[in-house]
Amino acid sequence: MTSVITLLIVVALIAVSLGVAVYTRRSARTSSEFYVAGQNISWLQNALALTGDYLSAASFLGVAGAIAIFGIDKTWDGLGYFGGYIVLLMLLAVPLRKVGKYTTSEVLTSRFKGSKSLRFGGMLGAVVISTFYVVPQIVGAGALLQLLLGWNYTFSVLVIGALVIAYVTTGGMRATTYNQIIQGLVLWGAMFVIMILMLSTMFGFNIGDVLTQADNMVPPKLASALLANDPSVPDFTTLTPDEAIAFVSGKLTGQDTALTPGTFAPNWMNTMALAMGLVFGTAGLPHVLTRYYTVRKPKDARTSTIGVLLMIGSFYIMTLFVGLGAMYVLYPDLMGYFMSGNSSIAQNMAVPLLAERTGGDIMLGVAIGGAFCAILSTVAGLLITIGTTVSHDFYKEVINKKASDRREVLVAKLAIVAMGIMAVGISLGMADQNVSYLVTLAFGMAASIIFPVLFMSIWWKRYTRQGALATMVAGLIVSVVFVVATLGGIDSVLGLPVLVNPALYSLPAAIITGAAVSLATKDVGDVENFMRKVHGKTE
Amino acid sequence: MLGNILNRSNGKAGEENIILLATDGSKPALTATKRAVELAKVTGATLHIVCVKEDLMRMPLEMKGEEVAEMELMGIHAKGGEVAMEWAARNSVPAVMKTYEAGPVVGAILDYARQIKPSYIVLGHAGRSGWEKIALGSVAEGVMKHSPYPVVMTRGYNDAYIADLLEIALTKIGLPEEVVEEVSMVPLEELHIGRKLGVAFGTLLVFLIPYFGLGALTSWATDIATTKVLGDANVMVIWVLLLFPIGWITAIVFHRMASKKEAEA
Repeated sequence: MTSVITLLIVVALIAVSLGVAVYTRRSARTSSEFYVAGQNISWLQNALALTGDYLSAASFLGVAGAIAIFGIDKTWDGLGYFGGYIVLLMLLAVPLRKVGKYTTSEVLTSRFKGSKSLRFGGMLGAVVISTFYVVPQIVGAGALLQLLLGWNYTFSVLVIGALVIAYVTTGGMRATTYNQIIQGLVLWGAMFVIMILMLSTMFGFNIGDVLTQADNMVPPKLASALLANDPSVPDFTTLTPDEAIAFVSGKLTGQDTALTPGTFAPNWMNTMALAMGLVFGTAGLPHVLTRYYTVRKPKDARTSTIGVLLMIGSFYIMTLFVGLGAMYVLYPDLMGYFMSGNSSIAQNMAVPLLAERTGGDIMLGVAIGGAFCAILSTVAGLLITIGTTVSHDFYKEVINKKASDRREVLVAKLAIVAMGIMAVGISLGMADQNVSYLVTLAFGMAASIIFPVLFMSIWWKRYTRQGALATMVAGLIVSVVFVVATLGGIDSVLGLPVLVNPALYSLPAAIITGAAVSLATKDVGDVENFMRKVHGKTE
Repeated sequence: MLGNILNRSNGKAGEENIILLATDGSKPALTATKRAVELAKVTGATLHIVCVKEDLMRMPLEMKGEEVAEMELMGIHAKGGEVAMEWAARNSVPAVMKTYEAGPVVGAILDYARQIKPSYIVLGHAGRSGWEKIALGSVAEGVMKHSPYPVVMTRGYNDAYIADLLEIALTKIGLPEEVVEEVSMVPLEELHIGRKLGVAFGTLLVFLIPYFGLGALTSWATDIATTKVLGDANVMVIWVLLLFPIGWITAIVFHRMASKKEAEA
């Protein structure tokens, strides 16, 4: 249970960021100045909105949190999240903007006109991926409430689930873009302040010292597992960081340190599966792809993406040092949480705990408030994507073609409530998982279900309607099977070892199946007009 | 009598008598339209009609959510400028229409007002209150507050008063405009899809090779990965930190190449 000051700062930070977003939307209508120049910075606005959309609990809490317990092996998360935008930039960004459609289903049916199965497949893929992406946000928010108010996890998740669903279906559905712009800035700023405070109070502004300490530590996740049954283990909470590190290092001489690879992904198959899932996952995330619809000109799709790369790249570099620094500062705490079975806090709360240790109640408030901003903006983006695809691709196109805007918005809200409830239900069983790890699984599914079908539709003239469907089905089945297997602790499926990410199997399966079926069939859709639109000169 | 009163303005004597009407095609705006045309007829003024599109960065569902919430106040989303032009023509009032493709709405109305120096501005007040007013503000109040010209404001609407305009408005409902981009009918071969993919993928490899190379290094050459090269920073740390600038440079170079190609084409 934290202090009133912390609670006030959390509430104030969320209220101010939402307030600024509403004010910005309002002044876009009522400002008395007429500024044509505003049009020229649309790429920057879009870059910030994408950043706010993208930097979720996984990035704000999970990446640094995972580095704090696993060490440098977990920089793969940040690297992959970053690299994903480079794949998106080079292979899909401009073509997607040129198609001018805002859901995967619509892009696919621009080429394969009238295909209800592709439309439904696109919707299903978007719903599965987005729901899986919402879950870690709720898990992170639940753990935050646990830390902030001392509630138990289940109650925290139920409360946060209800609040988030209410927020998105009422005010959050409107002015979302502005919320994301503001919250992108808040998140980056909060991580920067936490890093500077940590470096100044604990490491005398010497980044080299962070690495020196990291090289002396056995990552807490590894150490706690190895010392689980050791009767000589002391009560870590009574030790200083140096004492705790010295004890563990003395017991586990020769073990991997925080700067040794392999503590999370222990062999090449796991490492490559993770790397592949992440780098091809971004280009299949429905809420990211949808955002390109708001880019004004095709060329701005590139500049917006470069803006995002600069924002998130610098953010993930910060998380590397914050994560390693947190491991040192919080070493006794993290060991204590793991040894006492409180792994849900150890998994995800390193950033807020570090902020508290270096900046007291005020910084704890900034960290938790920042994390809530991350969660709100991302969940809003995700649930709105689900609402859009269900109401537009399914209800409006399949069930009721004459649906009014009012009815469409109502169906979207119902879909959001249904998916929100489902995500809350799944979250209740995921308390002990690192949120960034859960997000990497959503990336693996996106890399298999959406990315290959879009990539081949846009770049391959010989791709067919049946091939597209086969790509999606293969990607969906293989990725979901392996995600369920990895979460269920199953070691192998059909003789294949279950890895930390499904993409090593599901991405090639989707591409090979799609290519084989395409070569055996002939219906290439409206390829001429589609290709002219996507690759022709439109500016 | 009304004509005499409204003929007076801040403008200098001898200047053209102009009434500026701001309309968004909603029922409150149709009310203002009717009033403005009446006044123009009485005073012999020319009616200038200004319409401002809100070209905001938002997703379709955001836009629809906003429109649905607004519908109760607006009543109808007609093409306000066209309705006003037709109503002015029916009443033999000379009229000019100006459309701004993007807001801020208040700023655009005042910008046009400064150009034409009207005797006064006529607009409708939708009567937003509570959350709607906080969320979107009020254009009418914004114009009232900042306008250097007199403002005539109608408040709310009455269907009976605007029945004749509603009839016109129903034939000019503002459907969402489909952006139609012209697609040239070049043969597919001239699009050089294969070459474009080659360039895109080739550039992408500049990032992907060191990216997956890091995976290979940490999987098969752990000794090299953990060799210290700069203080306590080992090869893996340096490699990770270099991948970010490699990504940035690759992205910027790709953008410059693509922009150059587009300019040449």
